[in-house]
Amino acid sequence: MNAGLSINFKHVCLVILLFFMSIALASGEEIVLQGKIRDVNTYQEIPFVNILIKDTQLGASSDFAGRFKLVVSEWGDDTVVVFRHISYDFYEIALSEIKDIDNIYLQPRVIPFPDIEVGAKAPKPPDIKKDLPQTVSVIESRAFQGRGFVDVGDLLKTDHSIQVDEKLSGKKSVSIRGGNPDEVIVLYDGVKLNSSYDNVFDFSRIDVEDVERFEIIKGSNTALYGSEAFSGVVNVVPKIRQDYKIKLQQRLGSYDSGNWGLHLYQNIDRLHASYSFKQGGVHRAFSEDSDLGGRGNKLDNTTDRHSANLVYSFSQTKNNRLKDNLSLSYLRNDLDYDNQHYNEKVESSDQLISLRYDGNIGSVPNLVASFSHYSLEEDQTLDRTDPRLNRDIKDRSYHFRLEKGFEFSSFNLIAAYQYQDAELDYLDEVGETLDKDLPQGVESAILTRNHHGLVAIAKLHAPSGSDLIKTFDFDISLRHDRVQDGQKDVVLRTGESGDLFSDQDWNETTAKFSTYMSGYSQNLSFSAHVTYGKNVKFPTLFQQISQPDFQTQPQNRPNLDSEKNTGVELGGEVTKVTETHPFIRGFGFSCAYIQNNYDNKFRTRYAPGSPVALYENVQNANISGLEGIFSLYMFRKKLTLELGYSHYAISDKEAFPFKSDNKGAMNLILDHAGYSLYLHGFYESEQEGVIRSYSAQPDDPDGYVSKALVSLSDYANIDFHFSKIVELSDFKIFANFSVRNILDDNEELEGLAIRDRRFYLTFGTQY
Amino acid sequence: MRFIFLCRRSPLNRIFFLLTFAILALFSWNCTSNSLTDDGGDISDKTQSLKGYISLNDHASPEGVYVWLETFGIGTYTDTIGYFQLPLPPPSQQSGGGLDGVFKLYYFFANYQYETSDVIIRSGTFNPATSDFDDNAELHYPKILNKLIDIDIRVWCVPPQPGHEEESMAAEMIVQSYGTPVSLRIPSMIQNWLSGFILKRTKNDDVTYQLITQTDTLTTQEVQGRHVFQIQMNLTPSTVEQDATYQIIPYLYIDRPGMPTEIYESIGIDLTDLSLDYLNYPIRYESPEFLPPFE
Repeated sequence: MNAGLSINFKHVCLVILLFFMSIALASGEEIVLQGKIRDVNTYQEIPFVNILIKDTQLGASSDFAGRFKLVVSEWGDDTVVVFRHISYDFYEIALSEIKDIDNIYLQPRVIPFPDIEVGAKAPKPPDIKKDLPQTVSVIESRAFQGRGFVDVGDLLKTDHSIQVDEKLSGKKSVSIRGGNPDEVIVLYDGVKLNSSYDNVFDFSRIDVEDVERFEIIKGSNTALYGSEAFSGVVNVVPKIRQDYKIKLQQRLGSYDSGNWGLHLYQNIDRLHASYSFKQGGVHRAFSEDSDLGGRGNKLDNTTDRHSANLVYSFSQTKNNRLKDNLSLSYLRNDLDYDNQHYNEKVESSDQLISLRYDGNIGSVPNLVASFSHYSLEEDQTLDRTDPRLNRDIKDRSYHFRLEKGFEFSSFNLIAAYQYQDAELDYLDEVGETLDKDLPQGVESAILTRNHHGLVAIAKLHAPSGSDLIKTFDFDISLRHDRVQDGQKDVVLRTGESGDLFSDQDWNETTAKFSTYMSGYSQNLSFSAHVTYGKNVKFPTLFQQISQPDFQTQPQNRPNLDSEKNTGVELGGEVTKVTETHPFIRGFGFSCAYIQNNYDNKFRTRYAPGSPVALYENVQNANISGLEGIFSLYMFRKKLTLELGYSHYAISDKEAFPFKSDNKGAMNLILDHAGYSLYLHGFYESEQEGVIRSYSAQPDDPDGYVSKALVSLSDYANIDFHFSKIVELSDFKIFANFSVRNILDDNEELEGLAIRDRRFYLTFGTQY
Repeated sequence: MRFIFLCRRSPLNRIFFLLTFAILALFSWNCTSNSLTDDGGDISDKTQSLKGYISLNDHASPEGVYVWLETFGIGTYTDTIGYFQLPLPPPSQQSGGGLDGVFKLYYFFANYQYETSDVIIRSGTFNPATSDFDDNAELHYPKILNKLIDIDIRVWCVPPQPGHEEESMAAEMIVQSYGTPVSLRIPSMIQNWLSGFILKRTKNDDVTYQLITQTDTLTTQEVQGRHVFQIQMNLTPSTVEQDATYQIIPYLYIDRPGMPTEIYESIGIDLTDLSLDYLNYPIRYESPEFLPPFE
C-alpha cells in the first residue's frame, strides 16, 4: 500500500485486500498486524506497550507514538494476541478478530503492575527516584498537554501544597509547603535555573509544551539536587521524541492576548531533533480613573521563546525506549514588559545551553554527565526624570555534573559531583533624589561564586520477611558543599571603590536518613516513609551586598552565616482497587506530616529612600504541616475525583509572609471518547504577614518599631478546561477552551486585578 | 504476500492538512494579540493614592492643611473643601521594587493639634489593614483637627504726631491660645516691637510679598491665654503705592513637640532662618486687607 493511490482506487483496493486477507487467514500466509494502541478514555496513544502472540516467543512493542507492527508467519484459528502495559489491564484478542481493528483500546489501571515488561527490564525510573524517599509527584505530559495551561505556574497551582503568586509584570513565583520562593530549586533536566542574585526563579519562563514531565519534590529532603532546597524542587524534563513532524498552534485569550507556536521534529535513525518557537503577548490597560493619570495607561507583556533539542541515542531497549543518550539542549526566553502608566520597562532574557550524557560508557554503567551554561540578563529602567533608575543584572553560570550509580545485591549507591561557577555583573543606578544626603551601597560590581557539591546516597535493601511487604529500605545520604564568593570592580555609590564583604569560604556537611517500606497485593498497594535530615542554604549574592540591620532586636543580631534547616517528614499512601463495585474502580489516599525547623533564617527589608536592603536573622522559625489527598476513580477510570488539603502552622509571619495556612483543592477529571474535561476548584485561606518599620518618631519605647498584621482575604474559585483532539490518520486537530476563576469577575488583590476571570481558546494542528 | 490493515498515507490527508494549515494561517496563526477580547482597562491603581477629607473643630475653612507621609517624604495640601489626594510613587520606583512597612501620615496645620494615621504599605502598594482607611485608600471619616491658637491682626491709622509729621499705619498681632501653653518662634523683639513680618501688596492682580525684618534670628516665646504683639510698619503716604492693597502676614512658627522636623524640610522651610519660604507654612490667621487711607 502506498500513498500514490487515488480515493476511488483506495476503496476498490480495500475490498480486494479483504478478499485476499480471508484467503491468507485460511492458508497460513504471513500476516502483518499494524495499528495504534490507545487509552480507552482519553484516546491518547500509549507508547511502549508489549504485543505478544500468546504461548510463543513472538512479540513486539509499540513505538513512541503508540504505533505497532508485528509480522506473524505462523498462526491458527486459536491464535491470541496479548497487549501488556504496566499501567493498563491486559488485553487479549483473537488474531482473527484484530484484522478489522485499526485502534486497540486499553483500560487504564488504578494500580500499575509491578514488573511485567517482557524482553527488557522495567522502565528506567525518573531521576528524582534516585534521591531519598520523599513526597514526590511526577506530572506526566498526558496530564497537562493540550489542556490549555498557560505556563508551568498555571499548572502547579492545581496542587494543594503549592502557592503561586503572580505580579503585574507576569512574573510568577512558587512557594511550596509554606516556605518562601527562594527555597524552591528549579532545574531544567538537572541544571539549576535559580538566579545567582536572589535564588528566585520566574515560573512564567517555562512553557508546558514539549515537556515530558515535571518532577516535583515537596519538602526539604533532597540530597541529590543540592542542599538549598528547603521547601522543594521542580525538575523540568524536556520531551525528546514527538509524535509529529510539524505542529502549529494558536492561543487567544483575555486581555487582548495571543500566543502562537511552531514546533518541528525530525528523527533520522537514532538522532532526534526538535525545535520550537513561541511568541506571545498580553495587552492590558489601567482604568481611566487611575490616580497617576496624565501618562499613557497601557501595559504590554511580550514573550519570545525558542527551544531546541538534539538527542543521539547510542542504543535502544527492545521495547523502543531510548538508552545511552547524548543530548544537546537549547532554551531561550525573551520577555519584555512595558508599563506606560509607571513609565517602567523591563527587558529580560535567559538562555540555557546544555550537553548531557545519560547511560553507559563502554563497560561503565549508570553514568550521567552534563555540562551547561546558563545566563540571565535583566534590564529595568524607569524613564521618569525624578528619580532616574536603572538596574542591570547579568547573571552567567557554568554547571558541571557527574553522577555514577552502583548496583549491588543488597544496596544501591549513587555518588555525584556538582560544580557551579557563577558570575553576577551588577549595576544599580539610582537618581540623586533617592539618597541625596547619604549615598549608600553599591552602584556596580562583579560578584562571583564557586559552588562544589559532593553527594553520596546509599539505599540498603533489607529483607522484608513478608509476602505483602516487598521493599524495606534504609537510606542514608551525605553531602558536602563548599561555596566561595569573590568580588571585583566594586564601585560604591559614594564614588569610591572598596570591598562589599569579606571574601567568603563556606564548608558545610549535611546528612539525611530515611526508611522506606512498600508493598502490594492484587488489589492493594501501599508505601510509607520517614525522612530526617539537615539542609544548609548559603547567603545569596543579594544578601551579601545588603547591610546588617542594627536597629533589630539584640537576639537577632545580624550575621551572614548560612541558614540551616532540619526537616522531618512522615508520609504514606494507600491505593485500593474495588473490582466488584458497579462504578467505583478504586480509591487512594496519601498524606504527609512535615516539621521544618529553621535556624538563622534571613529576613530582609528596605528603608524608604535607601537602595540598600537591610538584613537580620531569625534564630528560631518553624513550619509544621499536614497534607493529604484522596483520589476516587470511577466509571472505568473515566472519572477521577481528587480532594487535596493542606494545613501549615508557620511560626514567624514576618520571615514567611503572606502564605495561606490552609489550601484545599478539588480536581475533577473526565475523559471520554477523546473529550477531556478538567475542573479545578480551590480554596486558599487568608494570607497573613507581619509588616514592620522603624518610626521616624524617636520616642517609641519599642526601639522605634511599629508592626502591623496584614492579611489578604481568603479566596475560592473554579478553573475549567475542556479539550478535544480530532485525529484524521496522520494529522490531528486539537482545540481547548479554558477559563480561570469562573466565579468572580474581578477580585482585586491590593488594587491589582490578578485574581480575575480569564478565558483562553487554543487550537492547532499537527502532522 | 503482505497485508496492511491501515492505509496510512493518502493524498486526501495531505490536502486536508494543508487546508487546515492554510485556514489557521489565514485567520489566526501568529497572532500575539486578538480583537475578540479587549485590554479591559481594568487595572485599577485607586489605592495608589491616599485620599480623604479634613475638617477643623471650629468649622473654619479646611483649606491648606499639609498632609505628609513620613519617610516617603511626600506631601500635599488640602483643597478648599478639605480634600487631599496624595499619590504614592509606583512600586518599581521605591527601594527594592516596592516597600513594606507601617508609616505615619501626618495632618498638619500649624495652629491646630496635628493628627496621624497609620498607613500600611506592602510591596509598594497601600494595604487596607488599619482602621482609618477603606479599601480604596480613602479615610472612612474626615479627620478633625482641634484648635490650639487663634491669630488676629489688627491695623489702624495713626494721625501725625510730634516727631512723626506724616500719617502712618500701625498694627498688632493678638495670639489667643486654648488650653495648653504654646511655644512660638518669632523674629526677635526689639523694644517690645515684633521685628519681622511679611507684607503682601496687591495691585491690579499683581501680588508681591516683602519680608520686612530688622533681625535675622528667631526667638522662642511662650504664650498662654491672650498675648498681644505690637507691630511697627513703615507705611506712610510717601512709601505706599497708589491703588495697592496691603495685608500683613504674621511671621511665626508654632512649636509642635513630637512632630518630625522632616515635615518642615518637605514644605521647604528652615526654622532657623527668615525667608519668604515661610509662605509655604500651613497656618491660619485673620488679617484684613487694607487700602492705606492716605490722601
